[in-house]
Amino acid sequence: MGSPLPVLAPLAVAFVSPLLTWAVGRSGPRAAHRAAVVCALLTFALLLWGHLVGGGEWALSWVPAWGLEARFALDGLATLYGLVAAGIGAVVILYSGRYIEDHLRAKGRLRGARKFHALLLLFLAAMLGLATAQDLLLLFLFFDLTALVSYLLIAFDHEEDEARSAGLTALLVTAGSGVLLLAAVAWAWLDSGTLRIADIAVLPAGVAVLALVPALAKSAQVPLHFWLPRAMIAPTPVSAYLHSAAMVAAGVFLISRLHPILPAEVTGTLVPLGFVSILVGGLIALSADPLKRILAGSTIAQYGYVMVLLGLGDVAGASFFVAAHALAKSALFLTAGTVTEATGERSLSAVGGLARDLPVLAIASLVAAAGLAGLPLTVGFFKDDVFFTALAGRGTPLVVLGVVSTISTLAYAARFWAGIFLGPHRRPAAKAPATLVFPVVLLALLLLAGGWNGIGLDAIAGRAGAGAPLDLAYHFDLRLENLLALATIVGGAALCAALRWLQPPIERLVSVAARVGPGTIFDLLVGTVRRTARVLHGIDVRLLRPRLAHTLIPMAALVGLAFFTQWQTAFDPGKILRADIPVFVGLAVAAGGAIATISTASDTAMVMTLTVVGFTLATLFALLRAPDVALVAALVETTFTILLLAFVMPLPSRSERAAPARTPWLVVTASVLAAGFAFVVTWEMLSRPTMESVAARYTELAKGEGVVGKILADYRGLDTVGETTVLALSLASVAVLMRPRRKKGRR
Amino acid sequence: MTPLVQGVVRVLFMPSLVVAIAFCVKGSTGTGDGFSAGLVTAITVSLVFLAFGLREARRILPIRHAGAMAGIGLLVVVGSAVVPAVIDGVPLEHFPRVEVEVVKLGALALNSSLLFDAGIAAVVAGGVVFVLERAATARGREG
Repeated sequence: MGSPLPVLAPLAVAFVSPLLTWAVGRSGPRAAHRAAVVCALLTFALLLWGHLVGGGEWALSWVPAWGLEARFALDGLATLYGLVAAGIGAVVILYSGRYIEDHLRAKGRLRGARKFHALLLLFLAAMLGLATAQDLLLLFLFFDLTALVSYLLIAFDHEEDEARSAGLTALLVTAGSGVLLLAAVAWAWLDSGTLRIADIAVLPAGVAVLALVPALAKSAQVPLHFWLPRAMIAPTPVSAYLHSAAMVAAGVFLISRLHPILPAEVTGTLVPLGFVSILVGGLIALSADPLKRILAGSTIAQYGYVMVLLGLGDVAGASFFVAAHALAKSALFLTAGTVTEATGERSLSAVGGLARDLPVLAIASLVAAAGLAGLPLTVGFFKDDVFFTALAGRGTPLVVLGVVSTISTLAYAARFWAGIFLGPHRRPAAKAPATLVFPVVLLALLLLAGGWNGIGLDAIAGRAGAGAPLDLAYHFDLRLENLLALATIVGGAALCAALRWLQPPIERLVSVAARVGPGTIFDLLVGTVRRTARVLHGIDVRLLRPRLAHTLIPMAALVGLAFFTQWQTAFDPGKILRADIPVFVGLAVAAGGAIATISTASDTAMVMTLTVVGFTLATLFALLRAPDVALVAALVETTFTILLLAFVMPLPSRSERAAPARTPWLVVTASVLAAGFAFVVTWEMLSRPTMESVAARYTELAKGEGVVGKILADYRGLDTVGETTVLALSLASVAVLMRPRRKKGRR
Repeated sequence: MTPLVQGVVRVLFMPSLVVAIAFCVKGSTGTGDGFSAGLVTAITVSLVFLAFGLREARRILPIRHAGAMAGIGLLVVVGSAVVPAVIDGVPLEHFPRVEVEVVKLGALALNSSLLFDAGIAAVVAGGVVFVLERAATARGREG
């Protein structure tokens, strides 16, 4: 490794392509689609080239004082996941041109097409960034970016309540648990002093658990799986990409990337977790009626297999499994999309016998289903072969569980395919356009080619793990793996035959489980938060003055706490000199202005009396020889007087509006407490004999001139940047709140 | 507004802006800084609003660019923190450094902290004028 170009070139292209597609898409959805296909293919080609020249590495040191650097490398793991993300991405984008155009035309917002393609490409870029990142912080950033983009893609039909709610569920589960990953990153940094994965020996068990939870959520593993079936509301290309090859793969990728530094006792728990997901996902896939829901259940189950492999320590096998599954599953998702386009139906019970109408799709889809089920001649056979090899020698219970898993996989793959293409011809299908069939055929050909010689995936996956290529070959003997595969086929056929009687009880079980499952608990939690927020909001925005009290109460509490815990010296009234008399006069004027502000009758008068307070204080600063502070105080006072008058004058006068008769006691108490504590704490601070201060050093550095300006621009410049940002943001929010409304009745 | 106020504003407009620029430029050695410069500019513009009315003020001054000005100012401020960090690793380092001889333009020492102050001035002036204009528009519509 060493040359930066093999990793930089695909990354750069991937991150530029969403912008490019967005710009080109201005001239129409076709142009956006063409640009997106070219970009995705170019990214794929560059990755392939990077792989052929042996990978590369690139690092940029930023904030070297903290040892932070952006390090990307195209190693085996990155190559495999990158190629899967870019390859499946290219096929899905190819498919989605026609699909999304029809989809959006029906909704009358055809202009959304370029947004769709740009978002898909942004997702590809995020996946590529994640795959190549060699640094924990970057890993977190890209992990979160995939969650954010997936939210936009799942809720792409944002005019539908259900789509928005599904997007939000996915975001809360995947990005919400992503916070744990950030915590893990921070903890790992504190523990080992570096963020570079290669420099960390082994993570503490706590960090490992914190990092595993978001990975399991992302890969839709039980009990955080419920977001995936809901996300099936998304347009089909999104499901085909995110929910087969990209987003769910990010979770297992995270575990694979961290696998060398995860303690074995933590990764061991992945085996039982994976088997639970295989069971739950399998039951969903065997009982669901909507086409995409069947596939969602199957994805949960298939990633359960990957978790088992990772738990057994077979990173290479897990990576190979992800790639093989992505090919088969995206082809099946695209099949579901084409069937829905051709018949207008979304459920298994509403279609049937379509082999007659869509013969090419039926054959291609048969290959994909066979690939998912792990039948010979497809690459899927090897994915199950890898699974069996990992299980062999780990005891009979695991082997039995493994075979039960593959039997259920075969049964739901057969149920999906046969339900669509065989049986009674329920509804005639329109002729499917070639662009909606060709991508499935392409994926089917790849599955067959992989079943013949592994299409190089074995070597790349080998590099992702220990280094030796996987042994992908057909062995015609009675080894355990072959016997298990044979058992799968026989058992799967038997289960298919028995499904007629088994299905009703499974359906009942799944519906009962859904009623008490984690999805319901999640909904209950979100609902409670929403209701609480509505109640608090109702209390808070009704009246302005109690609202101010709500900020004064914590202030009183905090300052009071400081007063009672930090008490150090007696209160010293100090000595009053003759020269201080003007200061006292000024303070008296300011106090008078403040009292007058409380008791004025009109808003305008209140603004003017407040101005008296402000300008008197500005004068006092000038008297105390602080010209910079005095200048700023006077200018701020002027500006605020103008702004306040501009806001207050359009309001109706007080007698015209219904104001509360008396100031609520809460407001009075809170104000008196907050002001009182502030007063005594300030007094106490000023009574301390000497104070440690950096002011002397600043004055010395500034050579005596323009100290305030130098402090703002230089010594405390970062504070100034933060303050300026806050100022700009608050001004912007005021401006947005006051935005003139364009049309009546619409916001 | 009376011709007297209009006359005063006419006379004071340019000098006020000169004062603002002076605050910004002299900030590193004397009283004043970018923040004060921005406020003086905003106050000056609000005087124009007051004297000539919103419509006339829009005609004389490029008020519709106020929001963009604040945005560009923020970019300059954040940029002057980020760019040195990317170049040599210390956020908000100003150029030329202390040990290097500065280029002087008359009595003015050229330093990148000038840019920083100008950015703050743009944020303050642009933001306040933007909000003022919104308030004035709202008032004009209702009364």
